[in-house]
Amino acid sequence: MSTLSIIIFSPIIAALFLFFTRPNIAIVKIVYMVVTLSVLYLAVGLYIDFDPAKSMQFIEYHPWISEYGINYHVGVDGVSLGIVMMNAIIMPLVTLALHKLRDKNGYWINLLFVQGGIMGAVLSLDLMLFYLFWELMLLPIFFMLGLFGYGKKNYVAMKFNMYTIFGSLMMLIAILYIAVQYKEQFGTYSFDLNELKYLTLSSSESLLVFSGFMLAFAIKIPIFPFHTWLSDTYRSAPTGIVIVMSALMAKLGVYAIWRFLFTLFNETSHAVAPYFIGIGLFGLIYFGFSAMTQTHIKRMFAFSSASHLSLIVVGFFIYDVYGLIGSSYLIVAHALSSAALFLMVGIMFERTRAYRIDDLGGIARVAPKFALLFVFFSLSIVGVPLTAGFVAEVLIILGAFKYNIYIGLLTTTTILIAMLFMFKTISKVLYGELSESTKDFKDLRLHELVALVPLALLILVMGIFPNYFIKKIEPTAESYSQKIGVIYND
Amino acid sequence: MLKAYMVLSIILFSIGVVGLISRRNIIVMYMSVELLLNAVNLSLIAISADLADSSAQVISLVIIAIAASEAALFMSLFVVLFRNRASLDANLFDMLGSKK
Repeated sequence: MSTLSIIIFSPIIAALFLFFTRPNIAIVKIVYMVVTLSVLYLAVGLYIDFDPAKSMQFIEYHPWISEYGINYHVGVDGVSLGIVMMNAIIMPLVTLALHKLRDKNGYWINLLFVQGGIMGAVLSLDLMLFYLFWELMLLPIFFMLGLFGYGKKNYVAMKFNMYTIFGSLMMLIAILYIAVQYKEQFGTYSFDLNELKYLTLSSSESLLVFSGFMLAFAIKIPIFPFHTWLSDTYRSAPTGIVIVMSALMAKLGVYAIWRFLFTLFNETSHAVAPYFIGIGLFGLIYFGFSAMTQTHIKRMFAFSSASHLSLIVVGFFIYDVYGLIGSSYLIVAHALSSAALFLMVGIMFERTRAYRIDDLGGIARVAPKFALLFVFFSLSIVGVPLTAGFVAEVLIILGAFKYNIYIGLLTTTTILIAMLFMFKTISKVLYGELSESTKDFKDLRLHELVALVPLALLILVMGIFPNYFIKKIEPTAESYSQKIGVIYND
Repeated sequence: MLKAYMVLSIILFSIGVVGLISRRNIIVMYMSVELLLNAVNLSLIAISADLADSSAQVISLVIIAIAASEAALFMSLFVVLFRNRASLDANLFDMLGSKK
């Protein structure tokens, strides 16, 4: 077993073990911590060993259901490395901050399942394997919404599940269709990404298959018309799941567009790119304004994160090296800051029992450390210089200007819009008069600081020394730009 | 010959869909689901025989085995549900769909 397999399967095996042995909650938390920390250790080792001169690395290939061309094929490249690192960093920190609040075995077991599922989906290079992990990470979220959520949680859990399963089924049909087409053209079944990319489909066929895949990814992200599950789910979900959904799962959707759609249907993706840039820019502005009008703080952050995910979609679809590097950098930067912000919102709810923005206020006066970190993470979301968000957004905007000057101008509005909704929230929550619910607000405790400060430091380091991080993405971007060159020359 | 099998399969599937939509007794609904499954299974076997490719027939045997174990699971669930509400009316079990 190599590193990648251990990273994927150790959380899943630990979760299964804990599920069947039903130990004491203290032991569950210890096992969770040991497993996630060892995954983090392996992931950091992976990051250091990752050779910045090559694209796809640590490839592992085992025959699985070879008669039908389904094999166990995993590997990591510059773009997926970022998501793997985020998953490994965020999971142990979530526990550190929340371990005093949640005393149910199911919470931690499900989080372990989700971690394994996300790792598998990010690393797999075989479509069937990818589909398996994609579904594996959905089920624990369904249970966590129903068991630990707030409000009308059962209805929300069911709605979210129906929505995503519908998308996934369309993707399954598309996967099976291209496998059958591969058999007709090459004589054998194959689900391997490296083999399927030689498939030739007529333009209408590939548009249909593209839509099948895109539906699954668009619902997961969510981009504009498929966002109706978003605000209810984020409002009802427990903190752990909100962090997983906004910081990791949504990013996985965008990553999958790049990994699978741009590899398999390069020309179709390029042909429909203007439409998706349009949808992305519309979503960027529309979700931004929606965020401004929200009164519920979790819904506000839900729309803020959707707004930035639309920007990431734009960054990938402008088909440019800057856009690609910027988007994969924003995936990491936004994962860090949104995970931290949702964690802080969870902490805030635990102390004040208030989610309405109007019920909060004046927290900066009683809890300076909380206010400092909250503002810092908000600034990183806005994209203020010296934070990681700035580097990423500037790169995407550079790429957008290369694509078209008007697209570039519209993309620039992201900083303005993010500033509007973030500063409005900050001024209402942190400043102003102390209210009934916030007057006894306790400042951050040690275990919460231990969880949040590393995220803040990482954002600073990523903002000041972006070169060290970008050089790991570069070879992937270069091999990709050669592919773009082929299209532009046609 | 394939056409006749496909027509039969479509008829069985339609009966299953109508049963699933119109009846509210959980056992009858389960029977309709089985009908759907077997309609698809029948078409799978028919197409497989028509193409002279035996792999689909093997898979349909696997499906039958899984359906049998599924039936055992469903039966035990019916017992639990009946103990809970003393009824098997599907309208009583709407926890996941209600907006409360």
